[in-house]
Amino acid sequence: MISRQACGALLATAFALLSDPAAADALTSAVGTRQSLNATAIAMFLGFVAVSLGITWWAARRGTSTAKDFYAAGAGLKGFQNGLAIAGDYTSAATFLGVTALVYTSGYDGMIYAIGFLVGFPMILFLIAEPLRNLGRYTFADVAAYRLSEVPIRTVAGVNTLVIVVFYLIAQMVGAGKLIQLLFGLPYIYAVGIVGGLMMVYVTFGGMLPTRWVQIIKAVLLISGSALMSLLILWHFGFSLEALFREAVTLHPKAGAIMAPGGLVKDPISAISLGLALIFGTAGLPHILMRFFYGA
Amino acid sequence: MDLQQIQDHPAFRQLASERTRFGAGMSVGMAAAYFTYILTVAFCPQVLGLPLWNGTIITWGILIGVALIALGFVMTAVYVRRANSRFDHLNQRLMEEVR
Repeated sequence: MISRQACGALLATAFALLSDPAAADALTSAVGTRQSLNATAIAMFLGFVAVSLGITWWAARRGTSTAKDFYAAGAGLKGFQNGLAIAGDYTSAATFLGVTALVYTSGYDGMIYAIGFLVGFPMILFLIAEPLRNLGRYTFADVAAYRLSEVPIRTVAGVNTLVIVVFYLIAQMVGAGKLIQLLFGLPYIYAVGIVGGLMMVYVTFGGMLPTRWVQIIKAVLLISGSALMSLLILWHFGFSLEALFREAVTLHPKAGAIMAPGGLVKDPISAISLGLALIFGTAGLPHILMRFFYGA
Repeated sequence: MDLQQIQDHPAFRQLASERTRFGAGMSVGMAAAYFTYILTVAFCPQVLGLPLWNGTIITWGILIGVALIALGFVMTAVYVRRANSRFDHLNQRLMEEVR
C-alpha cells in the first residue's frame, strides 16, 4: 500500500516539475506511447524509493517481533505524527492526482469530489475515530468481533476488506504502473510487477512502522509542494482570483461551463449517488480506518 | 478493577453521553450542510453557476464550495478543542475517582 502512495508523491513532484500546461499535455498524451527520459524525475523517484527502503531496513532491525509492533507500529505515536500519516494516506493518487485531473478536465465538477472527500474526514472523526481507538485492538475486525460472534464477523470483515482493497488497489496499481512506464520507458507489465514487488518488500519486512514514516514524509512533501505551487500560481496572476479564473475560462475548451456543475454530474440521481459515495465511502476505506489504531 | 463500578460512575455516564451527543450533533450538522449542497447540485445546478456579482467570473458555486471545505476545518477544530478540554477533563476525573 505504501509504494503506490510513494508513487503518488512522486507523480506529484513530477507534476510540479512539469507544471506548465504544455508539459501537462505532453504527460497525458505520453501514456501509452513512450516519452523521452526525464532525468530529474527519475532521480527524485529513485531517491524516494531509496529513502523508503532505508526506513524499512531500519524498522526491520528495530524489530517487528510482536503483533503490536507489526500491526500498530508500536502504537506510541504522537498525535501530530499520526495526523500527518493519515493525511498521507488520504492524499493517495486517487484523491490528489485524480481530483486535480478532474478539475483540469471538467472544471467545477471536480470540486464536488474535493468537497466530498474533505467532508468525509470530519465525519470519521465525529463518529468512529474515538470508539475505534479506545478499544485498543489492532484491526477493524478485532473491534467488530469484540461484542459479536467471532467467526462470521471476521469472515464478513475479511471479504469486505478484500473486495474494497482489490478495487482500490487496481486503480492505484494502474496509476503507479503507468508512472513507472512513463519515467523509465519500461513495458507496462514489468512496471506493475516492480511496483507490486516493492510494496510487498516494504510491508513484509518492516510491518506497519515504515509505511507510517513513508506516509509522514509523503504528506509533508505533498502539502508543502502544493502550497508552494498555489502560491506561485496566485503570484503569477498578481494574487487576483478573478484574473486566474478568467484566464482558465479563456483557455479551457469548455469555456464558461467549467465554473458551474453539469459537465460530469448530469442528472439528480447521479449527483445524489456521488454525494453519498463520497461522504460515506471515505469513512469505509480500510487503509484510513487502520490508522486510528496507531494513536498513543 | 470493577467494571460495573466504572459503568455506574456518574462521571463515566456523563462522559459517554456527552461525547455521543456531541459527536452525533456535529456529524448531523456537517451532513446537513453537505447534503444541502449535493441536493442543490442535483436539482438546481444553475444556481451555483450564477456570478457572485455583476461582471465577475467567480460563481456562487466556487464560494459555497470553499465555504464547505472551511466548515469542515472549523468543525474539526471545534471538536478537537472540546475533546482536549472537556472530555479529557472528565476522563481524568474518572480515573482519579475510580482508582
